[in-house]
Amino acid sequence: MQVATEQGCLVADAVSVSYGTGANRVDALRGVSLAFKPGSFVALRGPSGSGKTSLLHCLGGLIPPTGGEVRWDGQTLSAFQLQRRDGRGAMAFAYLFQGGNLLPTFTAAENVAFAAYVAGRLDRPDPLATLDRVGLSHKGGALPDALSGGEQQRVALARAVAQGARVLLADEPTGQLDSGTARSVLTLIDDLRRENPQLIVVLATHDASVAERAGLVVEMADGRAHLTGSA
Amino acid sequence: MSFLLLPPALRSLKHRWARTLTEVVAIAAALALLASILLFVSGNLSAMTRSAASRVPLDWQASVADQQMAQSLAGKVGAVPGVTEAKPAATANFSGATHQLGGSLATAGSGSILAIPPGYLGQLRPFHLLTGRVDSSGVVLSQPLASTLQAQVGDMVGLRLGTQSTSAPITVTGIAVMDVSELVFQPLGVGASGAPAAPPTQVVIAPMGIFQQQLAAAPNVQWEVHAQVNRALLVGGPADAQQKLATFRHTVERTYPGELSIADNLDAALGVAAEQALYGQAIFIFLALPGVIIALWLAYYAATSGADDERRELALLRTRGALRADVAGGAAVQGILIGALATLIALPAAVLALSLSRLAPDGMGGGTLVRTGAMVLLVGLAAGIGARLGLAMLTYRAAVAGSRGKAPVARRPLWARLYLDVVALVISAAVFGVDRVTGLSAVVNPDSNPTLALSLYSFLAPALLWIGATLLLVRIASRMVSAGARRLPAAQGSNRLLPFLMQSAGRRTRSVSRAAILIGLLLSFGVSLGLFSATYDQQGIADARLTLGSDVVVTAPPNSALGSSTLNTVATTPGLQATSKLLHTYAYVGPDLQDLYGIDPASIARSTQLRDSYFTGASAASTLKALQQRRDGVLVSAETIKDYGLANGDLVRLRLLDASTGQYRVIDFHVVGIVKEFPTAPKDSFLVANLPYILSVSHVAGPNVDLISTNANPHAVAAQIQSAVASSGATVRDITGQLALTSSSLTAVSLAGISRLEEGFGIALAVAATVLFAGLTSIERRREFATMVAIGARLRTVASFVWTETTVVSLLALALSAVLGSVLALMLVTILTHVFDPPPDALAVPWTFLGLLVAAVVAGAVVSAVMTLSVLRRADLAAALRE
Repeated sequence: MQVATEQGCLVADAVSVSYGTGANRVDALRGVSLAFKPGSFVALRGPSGSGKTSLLHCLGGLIPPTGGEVRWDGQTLSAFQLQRRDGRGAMAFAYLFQGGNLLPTFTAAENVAFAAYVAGRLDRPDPLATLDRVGLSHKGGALPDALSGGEQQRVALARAVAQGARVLLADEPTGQLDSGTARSVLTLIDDLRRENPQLIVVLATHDASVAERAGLVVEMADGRAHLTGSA
Repeated sequence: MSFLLLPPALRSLKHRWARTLTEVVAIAAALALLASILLFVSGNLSAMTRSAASRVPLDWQASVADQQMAQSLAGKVGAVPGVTEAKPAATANFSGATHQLGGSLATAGSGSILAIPPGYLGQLRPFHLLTGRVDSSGVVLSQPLASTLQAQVGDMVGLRLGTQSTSAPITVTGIAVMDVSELVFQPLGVGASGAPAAPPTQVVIAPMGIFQQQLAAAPNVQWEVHAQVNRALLVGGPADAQQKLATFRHTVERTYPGELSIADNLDAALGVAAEQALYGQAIFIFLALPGVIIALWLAYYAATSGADDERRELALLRTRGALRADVAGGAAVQGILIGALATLIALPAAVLALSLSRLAPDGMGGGTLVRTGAMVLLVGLAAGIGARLGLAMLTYRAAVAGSRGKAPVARRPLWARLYLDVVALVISAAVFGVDRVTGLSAVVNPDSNPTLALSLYSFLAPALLWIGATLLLVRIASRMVSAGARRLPAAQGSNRLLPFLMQSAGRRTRSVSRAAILIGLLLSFGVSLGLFSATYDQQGIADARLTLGSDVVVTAPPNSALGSSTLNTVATTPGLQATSKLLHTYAYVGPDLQDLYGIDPASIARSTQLRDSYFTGASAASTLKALQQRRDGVLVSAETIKDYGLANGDLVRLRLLDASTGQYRVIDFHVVGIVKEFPTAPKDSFLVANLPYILSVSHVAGPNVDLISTNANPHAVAAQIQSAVASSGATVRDITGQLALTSSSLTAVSLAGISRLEEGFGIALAVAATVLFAGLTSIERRREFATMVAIGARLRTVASFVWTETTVVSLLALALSAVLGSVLALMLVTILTHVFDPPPDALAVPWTFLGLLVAAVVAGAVVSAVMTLSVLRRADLAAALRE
């Protein structure tokens, strides 16, 4: 246990992830070790198939590592992940997906409200006020189908705000956006970090210009991570 | 179509094995249901033939010139292979009969004579003996004649022939019931057409020797040949058997040209059975085919479980240049394979289900199996191709629209905008109303080759009800869910899950409605079948009770009364609910001799079942009350009312036999009601009056029938009474034996077994559809659910979305089935009212079955809930997020 040294940290310790077996086996991650301190903004950069998404899913506890371990707040995430599946300790992680991944049967405001509900936020932040922070209070009643890609990502950010997340895991959040919209989404992420200085942001991208905004860039290739820059 | 697309089509079936299996099983279930019905109906048609033939005691009659020819032809016809018995016989008339009773003389009017040779009562049985025997030393009297003459076995009676003033004295050797008097004494031969006279009730059955020696002077002698046909000739359903019989009859007639013209009573019975068979088939069309159609829809529903995969595969095929025809061809190949596989499973499953349910009919031979197999294969191929092709074309259109950048337009469906649900219901009600007012219903063509001329209206009303009620429920359900969602807004944030569940369900009304309709229709199929079947069973018992009189009936020997010791013995038998004494005698209404029943109006309703439908113009209770209030009251048949221009309160004078003098005398009665049916009474005209009044005016010793209702086993009670009253000569019959006889005549098909089987199919399919809905929802929404988990939702929270929709679907389905099932059953009972005799007062409700149905729905929902949670626990959420 490394509780004292890893307080508020997200740590990947020699993490390996494999899919399939035998001849079909694919090693998506090969012994990746990274530590994300509170307030850090790390970009995972690499081509498709380099292991960026697998690392994000592993860090968020959506898939268990086949080797090594992920720790959050000093606690092994493999056990923690099971707890998540069992429904406890949910509010720490927020996701930002390439396509927004808004819940299609909820309006923008309901997507935000539902995130606050599942996070167990007792203060019940006003969803419209949260949407206002991303400039979309006027779209509160719109269903995701009626929103543009940029708007969907901004709603997804508002959802992360509503969650009160301590870790934001973003998987190619600007991949389907034009450059102007992409910039505005990244600006919003910067705003979030300013409002919550302890927020850890891990952003996977193959776009160098996006990665440059991060304090730290990790190059991913063939399931391995190489540190190439720092804040 | 490019044959290059065949391998991918087959690979797709193998690769998506779970979906393929689901489709195959769903189609197989529908086909098994269809096959079991076809096999059952086909087998039962043979049973109907056997049943109808077994009830004909005198197959053929042929009029011949004289006794010599009768004997000669009987010998020749009896030797024809296929004829089991042929005997000469004669009919004639007598003008009166007398019986010396001590100092008085009992007299009877004219009647008929049947002369039979020795050994006649073997294969030929146009009458059955109540007491005594057929003996060369005397004659047998029919029960009404014996009753009128107050004659017993051993008595001497006198028969007056023609205008003779003296009577020929003859010993009575037996008393019999003429079972087919209308056949035995029907006019035969040339010039015999025209309306037949009423069959005689006063009959003397004379051995040929006595007929020749003592009754040769009788007028209107008609010599005949009576014959029975080998039942082995009657193969297949009644219509087929009728055809074969006609061919055989023509062959026999051609063998003796000019000598033999056969009146074929068996042909007539088979004709009636053929009509009944058509009714039976109509019942199955009304009740079972909707189940098959819905089950096939379930197959299509199962096919849609792979819509997403289908879309991806289609996109890949289109990039390789596949055209619409190629896609359709690939889907058709898949459909053929699925349909053929489903047929291979369905046929053995149907045979197994019938065997396990002990419903496998005796007539289920190889030919039947091949014919059924061919039909089921055709339906299976059509279902398989339909499901695959439908899905492929739907996906193709969506893909083309998607590639052209067409956004799906969210608008209310056309039927909802045009209010076609309301229109369908209004037309259904109107058609049904017209049916009821004009009396239109299932009608049997009275021609020689019977076909069921079911009115178009008859099909239209239930069909429109199905459509209208279903669409209306969808409309109401959509509005209810939307209204619920509006009352529980989630956009302002909530610390409760319910508002989110409601909003989600409210925006998925199309999926929820589709599942609710499917499951609701499957359940309503079960409910309507259950209600109809229960009503059918109930009427079977009512019919048996109507024929027999009650659960157990004790009848005195002919021309005797039940002694007080017998009545006391019966009354003290354990297990009885109530008893009621009845006197069965005869009375003349004008020149017509009618059965007269003397009853105790106060007690009879407790010992037998009296339905409102037995009476015209008033309920059973009020009619009995009216009879009770007027000592000389009488209930008469509608025919008598019409023939004699009677009305309630009118005086009617009946001639009753006075037991003290042996003479008929005129007694005054007053009409207090109209009776159509009555326990133990015949189908034609009869009379019902107060027992004390009849006893007082006829001086009969007492009642001769005791009706007994019991909660215990009627057969056991009857056996107990029989052993206790055996010495009195009284006969005891119970409803168990009667039911077996009646069931075989009430459309000759017992619905009980096949209904249970079909209900089982309905329940199983409804449960399967509920589980399938939950499974489909989990698959369709897997990316959404994965996102929920990714943002921290508990698995139970995620599963709640499926549970909510499953609950809504189950509740809507139950509501639909309760309303639609009941109304449909009511409509079917009304439309097929000819099937019921007597018609039911109300639907019988099979509570146990309905309870099972609800339990099955709840079980389906619970299984779905457990399954959903398990699927979510094992789901590859990361993979779902990457899609």
